[in-house]
Amino acid sequence: MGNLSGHEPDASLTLHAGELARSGEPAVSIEHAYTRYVVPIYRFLYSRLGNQEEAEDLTSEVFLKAVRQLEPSRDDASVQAWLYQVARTTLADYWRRRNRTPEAPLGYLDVPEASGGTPASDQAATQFALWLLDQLSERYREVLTLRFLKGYSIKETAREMGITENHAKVLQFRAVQKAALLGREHVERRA
Amino acid sequence: MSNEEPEVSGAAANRLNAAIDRLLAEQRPPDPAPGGDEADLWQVAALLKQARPDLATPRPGYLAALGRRLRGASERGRTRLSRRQALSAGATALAAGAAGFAVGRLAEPSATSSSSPPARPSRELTLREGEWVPVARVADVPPGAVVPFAAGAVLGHLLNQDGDFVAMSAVCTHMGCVLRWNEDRQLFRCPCHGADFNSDGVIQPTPDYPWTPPPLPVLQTKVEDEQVWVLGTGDPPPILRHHDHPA
Repeated sequence: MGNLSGHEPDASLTLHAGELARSGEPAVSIEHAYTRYVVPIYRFLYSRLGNQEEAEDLTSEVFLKAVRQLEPSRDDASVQAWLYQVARTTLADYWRRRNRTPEAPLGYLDVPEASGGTPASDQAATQFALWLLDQLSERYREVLTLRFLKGYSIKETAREMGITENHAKVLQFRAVQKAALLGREHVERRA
Repeated sequence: MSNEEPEVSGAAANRLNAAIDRLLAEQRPPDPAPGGDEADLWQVAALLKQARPDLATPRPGYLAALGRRLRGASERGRTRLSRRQALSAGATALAAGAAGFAVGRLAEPSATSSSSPPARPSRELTLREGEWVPVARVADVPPGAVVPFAAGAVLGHLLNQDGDFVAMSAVCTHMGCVLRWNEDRQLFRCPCHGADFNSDGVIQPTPDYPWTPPPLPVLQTKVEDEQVWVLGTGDPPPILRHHDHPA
């Protein structure tokens, strides 16, 4: 796996002006799509999936579809909209295959407006997560903060809070349940 | 806590906890998902993890590999992806700010090549206009303990090494991801590329991780009022604003 590492840009990624010049065919679209949107799309998927493994798999899927299907004539806004649409359907398919509710209570994270500029989804998930934490009672917030922000194990969380591990698991369950409820209410209010 | 909450089944609490453990390790959740309301909770857990935005940055190694893959695919197809594009997407990811990233870079000596030998951990990081921040009660960090902290924007781990407090940056000196302490293996593990640093902050080369990034920077500490203080920054990163440090 050595040469796949991100330690430094490897030799195959150095700039070759000649190659760029040769690629003056309908190359613009996919290049543009990849350069500009691979990170936002990854983050969009990560915000729904919450882990690197799945976010990487699905990002790859989206961009491989783009290589095959994205029409080179599209303009920027339409490329962006296309990518997010493909990301959504890819995600929905994936959840269906894995028996996970496609809509869940996460409808709040709308696909950003296709108006150019930086997609808002990067910040939206973080802000929403922080807002949810803020709405919770102190105990609930504490257990989730220790787990998600500080990365504590359930054992460490229990120790920090002075409760048993089982109690911490139940508290965590209830806190997530409450966050789900608040999230759903928030979405419904906005709908 | 309100008492109107219904009983929670221990099995469901265990399942959710296992799913969260996997999320925190950046792994896909257990398969198959339970479906229904429980699956909703897994989604909410995935969302709550976004409270730490630094985690949502793709690994540069992944982007480089994907860039190559797309290039291969597009050369077979009708479009092309230039090397420059693949490179610049990687650079975008690198520039994407992770909390604590700047500290890791700042502390990095100029020798970043993989041939540099692991240095002794004699590298103290002094922040200009730093601010002393209490990070733990002395009593909470017994000998051998390793406790994560945030001294303002500086993320680190506080270690009690035979009665001496050592505060070490929690930012991997390779690419700036946030390290996690593994109690069983007594190592700091990087979730991004699998780097292992020992409790002295020195990289432990393994077959999967052949590089030798610089040792983890050490921050200044002092003990006062029964508390351990670290010279960090005054402003907490917004992502940690919900957590009060032992004070």
